[in-house]
Amino acid sequence: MRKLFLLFFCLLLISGCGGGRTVKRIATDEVTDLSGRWNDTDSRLVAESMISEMLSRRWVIDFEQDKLKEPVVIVGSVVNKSSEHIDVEVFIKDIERELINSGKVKFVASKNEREEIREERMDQQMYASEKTAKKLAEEVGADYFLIGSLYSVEDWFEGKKAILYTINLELINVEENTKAWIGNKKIKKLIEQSGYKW
Amino acid sequence: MLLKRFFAVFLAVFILLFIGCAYVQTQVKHYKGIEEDFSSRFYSGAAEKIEKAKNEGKYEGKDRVLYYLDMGIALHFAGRYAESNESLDKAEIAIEENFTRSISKMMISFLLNDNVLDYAGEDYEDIFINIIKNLNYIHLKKTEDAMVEIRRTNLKLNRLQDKYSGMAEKLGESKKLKESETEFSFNPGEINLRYSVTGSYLSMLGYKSMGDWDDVKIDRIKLLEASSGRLENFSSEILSPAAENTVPVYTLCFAGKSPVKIQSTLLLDFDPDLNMARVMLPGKKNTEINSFRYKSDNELHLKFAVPEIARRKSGIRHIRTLVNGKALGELHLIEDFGHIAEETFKVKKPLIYLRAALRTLIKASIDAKAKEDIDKKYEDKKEEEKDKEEEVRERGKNKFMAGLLKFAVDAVTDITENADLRCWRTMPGRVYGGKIDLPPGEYEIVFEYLDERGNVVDLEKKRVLIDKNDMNLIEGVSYR
Repeated sequence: MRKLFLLFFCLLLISGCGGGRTVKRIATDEVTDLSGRWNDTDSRLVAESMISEMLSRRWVIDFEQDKLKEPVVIVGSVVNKSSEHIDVEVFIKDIERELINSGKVKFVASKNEREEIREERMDQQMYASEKTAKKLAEEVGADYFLIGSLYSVEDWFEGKKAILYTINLELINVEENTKAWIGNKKIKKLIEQSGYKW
Repeated sequence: MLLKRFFAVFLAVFILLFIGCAYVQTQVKHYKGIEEDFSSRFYSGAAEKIEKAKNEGKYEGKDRVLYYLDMGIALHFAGRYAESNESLDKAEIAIEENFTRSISKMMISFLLNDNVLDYAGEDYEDIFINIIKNLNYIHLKKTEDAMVEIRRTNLKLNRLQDKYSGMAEKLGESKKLKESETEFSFNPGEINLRYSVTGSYLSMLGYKSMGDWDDVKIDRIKLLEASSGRLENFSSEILSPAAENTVPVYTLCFAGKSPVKIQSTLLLDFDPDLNMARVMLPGKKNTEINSFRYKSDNELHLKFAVPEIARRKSGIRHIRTLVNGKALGELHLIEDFGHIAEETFKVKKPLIYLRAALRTLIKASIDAKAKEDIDKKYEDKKEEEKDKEEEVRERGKNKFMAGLLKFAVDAVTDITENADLRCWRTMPGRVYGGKIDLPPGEYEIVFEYLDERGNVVDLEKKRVLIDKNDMNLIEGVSYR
């Protein structure tokens, strides 16, 4: 009987035990898969891989040979059609960074950024010196428009979850309305959650 | 010596009484004020009371899901949509985490009761989280995020269908084993949980606003399947084009309170002649719920507590919409969470009853063994005594101690015999929906909550701006 009560109180103690919190600084490019959801690592790796693939295709050379200049690209919207709340702005910024750092294309600021800059330029016309005020209607128009979508398919059974993310990017020629490139990247994750713990 | 024993008994009873209050019983007293605030639409007051209750220890770690759910819905109706989403996100994560069950807690639950386990939420509650989050995102004008919640609802429903069919299959197998008279079994329940009517309705509206007609059609099929064709007129009404110079305005109203769990007592009778144990409803003839083979030397009659689903009264039977004082028709009843709760509980009930019956059996064995040990211990002592006067005195003490210890054993058994009655008590009970066509502009919209005879039970006024570029979903609620 005593043993039983001892076991009971031990169980009570175990059930109340919990680990403390520790904080450790790690490199920002270190892979951190905690919950299995879409994270910064996925965003960065997909952006790197897809932009590298996009810039390795013929459309860049064709454009340069035809127009004798680097193509100008703008990143439009990336629609989240997955079953997770994904901050697409982070993904768009990763894409923009890869595009700029490649040095192969010129890059136009996004719609919101352009509007803000236009306001600034208008402001300069009034308050900046003639010498330093920037001219109006001198913006560089984009040759290509990059849009995308993000899907996910989930399968779940008794603590195991398989999730497939499909990211589609499409590069559209603004003048011709033709698609210059379509890229697709898939990420598959298997998340296992134990059914029991102490 | 006597003082030491008395102190030990006192300490044991004290610990168990303490456990009894905070650990082995579902705490519901603090809901009184919270529910009153919900009924009088004082949602920020309800949120404050929930926070206060948490600080007072009414929502322990094992009940953290309930805290997030209660807080999430209070903040939703208070119009604090982003905060509501934060709380409901935490509830969803906690439910996911609670999929991993603690072995130690499960073992304790076999000695005490299911209240000691981490509350993982009922399945219909889990689905309702995404419905509320969807509404939060719609109110925040984040359609893309609202659609994420719809997809999550559908994913969860698919999982549930798999889970329940698996559960029914397993119980079915146990039924087959019973035929060879070797196993304990109950009849499995059946359920169709593939679709949520409210989820499909909101999904339809979401896809419609995005012009995604293929998905709208799919959701219409789901809605009709989930409602067994009952909502044919409703779905046609929702999808009908708006009259000239008007835009469609969709209404969604919650009415009444969700069902709760109440405690019900069952009897477990052991018949040594027949080597049978029977689970019965007390006080009624021919009320055997089930029976199983069990070898016992003694005739035993044990009581055990199990939860039952009980609907809460609501006077609301119809909801009428008035626009600028003019009645524009009634809303359709699209979903009754009481019915869903009953249906889902029906499937889980056999397992809950089985666990409770086994727990009772274990506790009864421990109880009997403990009493036997107590008797043995004090009987032995009596024989050891030499001095007659001392023997009389010691016998008195022993009798007192034995009685006290037996009382403590009985007290422990009684205190711990509680059904797990935890559920999302602040969740509404029914969902109504409808559509009206209005030219863009500002309106006063009134929802009249009517009883069976058409008397107004409750009234809710809203000033709304109807915009042709918006989804124009107006939400109402009455907890009466």
